[in-house]
Amino acid sequence: MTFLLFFPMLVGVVLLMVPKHVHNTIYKISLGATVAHFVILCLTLVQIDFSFDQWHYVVKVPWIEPLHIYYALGIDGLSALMCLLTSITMVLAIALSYKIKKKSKAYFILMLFLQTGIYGVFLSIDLFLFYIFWEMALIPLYFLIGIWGGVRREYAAIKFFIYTMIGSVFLLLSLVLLYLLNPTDSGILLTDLHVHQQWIRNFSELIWGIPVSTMIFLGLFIAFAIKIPIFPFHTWLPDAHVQAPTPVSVVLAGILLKLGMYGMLRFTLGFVPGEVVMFAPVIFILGVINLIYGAFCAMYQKNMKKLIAYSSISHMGYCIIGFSALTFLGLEGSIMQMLSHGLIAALLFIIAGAIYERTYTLTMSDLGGFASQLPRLTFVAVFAVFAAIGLPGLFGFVSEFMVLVGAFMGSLYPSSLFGASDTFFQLGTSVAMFTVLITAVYMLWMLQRTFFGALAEKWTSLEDISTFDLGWIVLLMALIFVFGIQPSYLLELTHLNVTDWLDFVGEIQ
Amino acid sequence: MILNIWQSSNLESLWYILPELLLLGGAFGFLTMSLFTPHNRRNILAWAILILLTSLFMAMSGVGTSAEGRVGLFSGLLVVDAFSMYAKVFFILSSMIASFFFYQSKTFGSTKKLLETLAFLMVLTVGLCWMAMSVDLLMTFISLEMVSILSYLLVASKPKDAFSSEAGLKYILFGAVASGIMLFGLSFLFGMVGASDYAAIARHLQGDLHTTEILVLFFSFICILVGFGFKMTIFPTQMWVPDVYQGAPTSVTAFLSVSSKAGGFLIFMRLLIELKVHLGSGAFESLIAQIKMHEILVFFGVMSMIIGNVSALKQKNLKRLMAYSSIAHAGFILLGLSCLGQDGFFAVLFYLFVYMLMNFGAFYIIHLRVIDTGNDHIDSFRGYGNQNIWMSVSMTIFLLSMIGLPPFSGFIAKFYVFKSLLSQKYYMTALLGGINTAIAVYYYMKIIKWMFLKDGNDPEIPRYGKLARVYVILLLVPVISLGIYWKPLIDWVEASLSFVF
Repeated sequence: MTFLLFFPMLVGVVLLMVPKHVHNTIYKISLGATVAHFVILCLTLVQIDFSFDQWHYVVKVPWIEPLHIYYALGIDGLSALMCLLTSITMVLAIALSYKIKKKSKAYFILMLFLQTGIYGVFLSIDLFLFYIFWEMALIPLYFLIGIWGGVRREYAAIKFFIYTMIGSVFLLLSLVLLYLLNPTDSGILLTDLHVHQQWIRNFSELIWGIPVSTMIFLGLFIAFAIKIPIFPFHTWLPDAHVQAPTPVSVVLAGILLKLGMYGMLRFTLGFVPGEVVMFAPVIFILGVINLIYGAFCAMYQKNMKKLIAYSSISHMGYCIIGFSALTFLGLEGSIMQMLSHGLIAALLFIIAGAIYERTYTLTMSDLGGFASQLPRLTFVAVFAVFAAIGLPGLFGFVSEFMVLVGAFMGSLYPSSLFGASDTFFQLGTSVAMFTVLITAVYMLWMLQRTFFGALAEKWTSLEDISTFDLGWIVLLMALIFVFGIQPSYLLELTHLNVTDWLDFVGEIQ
Repeated sequence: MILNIWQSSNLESLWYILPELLLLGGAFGFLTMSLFTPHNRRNILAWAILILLTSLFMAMSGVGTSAEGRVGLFSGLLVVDAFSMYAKVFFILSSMIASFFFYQSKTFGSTKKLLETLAFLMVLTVGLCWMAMSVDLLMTFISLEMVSILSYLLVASKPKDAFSSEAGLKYILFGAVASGIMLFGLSFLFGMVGASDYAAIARHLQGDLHTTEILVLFFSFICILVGFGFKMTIFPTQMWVPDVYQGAPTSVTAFLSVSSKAGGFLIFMRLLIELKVHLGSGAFESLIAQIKMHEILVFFGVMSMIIGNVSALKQKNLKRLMAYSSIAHAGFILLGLSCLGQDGFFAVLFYLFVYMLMNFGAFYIIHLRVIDTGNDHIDSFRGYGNQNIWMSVSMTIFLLSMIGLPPFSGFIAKFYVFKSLLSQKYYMTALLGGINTAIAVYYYMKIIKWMFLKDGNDPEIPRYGKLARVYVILLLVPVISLGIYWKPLIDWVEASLSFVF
């Protein structure tokens, strides 16, 4: 497990010794490393039977004794899925990075460090360790956006960094609070969540008249909400995604947003399920706002990359409503949506990147008519757009359908802020369903404005994407297609996690 | 808990201050040497390091500390215990780091100047150690002045430079006023109690106090805090900091921002520790509650953080920026101190040690840049990442550690301060501290931004000597490793306060 975690970083350290002018060697080493890493991960996962016993390959070494901090790693269904997504996205991002010539050595080293950071977030089962990796993933991203980004990269990078730091402060305060109040002799580990829920719930003390558990919930919620991002905290996202170079946008949309959702499921629901039940209607409403607001914002964008960024905000709304409904289908759908959005958004950003590379503009009024000039790219784009809309048979449909059905079946528990209600989620989900329509409108409109219509004179000499690029893209498309037809491989992995969470919720009632 | 202090005779006391005596001897030797023919600069540095190293080993191996626990020296002027040992090790180590920094500084280019400065540095170290050891109002004041006067000399050590002279003069004026106010407060305390040693003061403060007595005590506490706070660089005595830090040679600035600040904190902690040890926990807590010590410290701490951080946001001059950052850090450390309990004291000692490492590191690289480009504008970092990747990555790590990002030691220091605040249920203070941490991100990242995100216009690639690289690595290694495994440091900190709690 430790090897799996630190392998990319190790390769990064090895890369330090490679002379910096051999772009190609550096590129090949990093690509080889990520592919090898992916293979190791697959080999590890194949050996695990996820249908019994939640945690596997648990490593637990005491680290700082008096504080009960452990160096503890482990893998379960959810982290396995997230690691898979990470590896797939990182392989793609690195494979498509061969065009990066500016300081390529530093670029690939940072990418590999980033991969270790993200893996650490998904694999650590100690809260303290989780926080350390959470922050570690932040630092390379600042540089990746800041150095290799677009015109306004400095602004976007610092905005991204400060936003996430504010979230981190809240996370840190909740974390310190948890470590301080912990009356048990064990660390704050994910393996004994039940114990921690017990004492958090029974802790009678108030902070400013609010129970400690609610404070912890708020701290965790704000921290993760900024990363997801949930509606009022979303403004960093369009800047960061638009300014980042294409492979980094792929990583941002593919994995970074999922870090927040992962934390939300794992820690917010894991430590304070009572508060999640209590605030479920509020979270749900924020999710619906995310969906509809994000979709409308996307509709009015002139810049293609910005449109995709807003569509990311909109699509993360599905995760949020699936999560807040607290039903079996909703939670599983939420996890599926994380995966499907990771893959589909990655594909969309690759397309936007490919266009920008050729035309140096993403303003859609300047584009148009690429269908005749770039048939391969157009084919990919049509596929991506339909996947994003949620065409049956593709991965996006599965997850969105599960989330919507799951949310529709949900009902508010008596201990929620709005009291018990059966109709709340039904009404809300009906409103949310309009997003599907709006998504179709802006996505198809985007497709029409960029790929169809009359081809401008200046674009007549564009080259289509290379076979090398197309190969990687087709792999990604194949995944979206396969999981759309047969998602049960993935679903099986999540069953234990979801039943666990539902148990937590059930215990509260 | 009332500990009996074993008083040693005056002659025996000399044995206990052997590290300091060695430093004083070295200082006199250096001053004498400066009268004679020129010497090799490198030899001078080697001698200084040797003297400091020997006294560091003496302090660490416990020459001067005894099995009996606490020993009073010179009829109760100084005390030797685990806490003094921490202070000695801290200050001598810091002076060692600084001596190399002085050696590299252009201001101290001539051998005569270097010898003098290193002699001052050693005497200053003695003064700092005694600040943390003194258990008598008189000794407190004298050791504080000993440090102040030598600091004035160091700050004004660029005689031809108008900035440096101005800084020196400002420092003297502010310092004199602060000392005067502190002396005023001390005299009130002395007048009320009739004794000057802390044990006697504590004995007098036992039992119920009259309202007037509380008032006098409150007043004298505020006055004393002005004197201590001047050294700690906290609000409202922070006015001198940017000007003096900017005017002084960078090496002196780095030294002041570490040692002088730590001196202020440790002397204040010594006062609190003595009161606590002699009064016992209950009486100590009722006393600090009566004079509202916690509230005052929190107020000053939060104000220092806000003023430091907000002023640093728009700052373009590197040394001024670091000055404001040091005010903000002082405020944050003061928050830890304001808990007035076990966790808080641990956090302060931990933080100070980590701060020493990262601050010297950051200042040293700024110093290199100032030499390379000839100015201390933030622009001098433009494109540094292209020119010297190792130095700029080191600088990035020092700055990230100052922000408090894991896995660097600054994060652990911040973690302990938050822990002490939350364990005492000061939630609002912790939240304010957290918000300030987020504000501080901006200006630290600004330096990083200039290094990596802006392209350089200076094709000349600076080369640094082997010594400079070793120096940075020596500071960098503990900054990283203490962030990953900090148990040795926290154990040492706990041991040095074990007689209090």
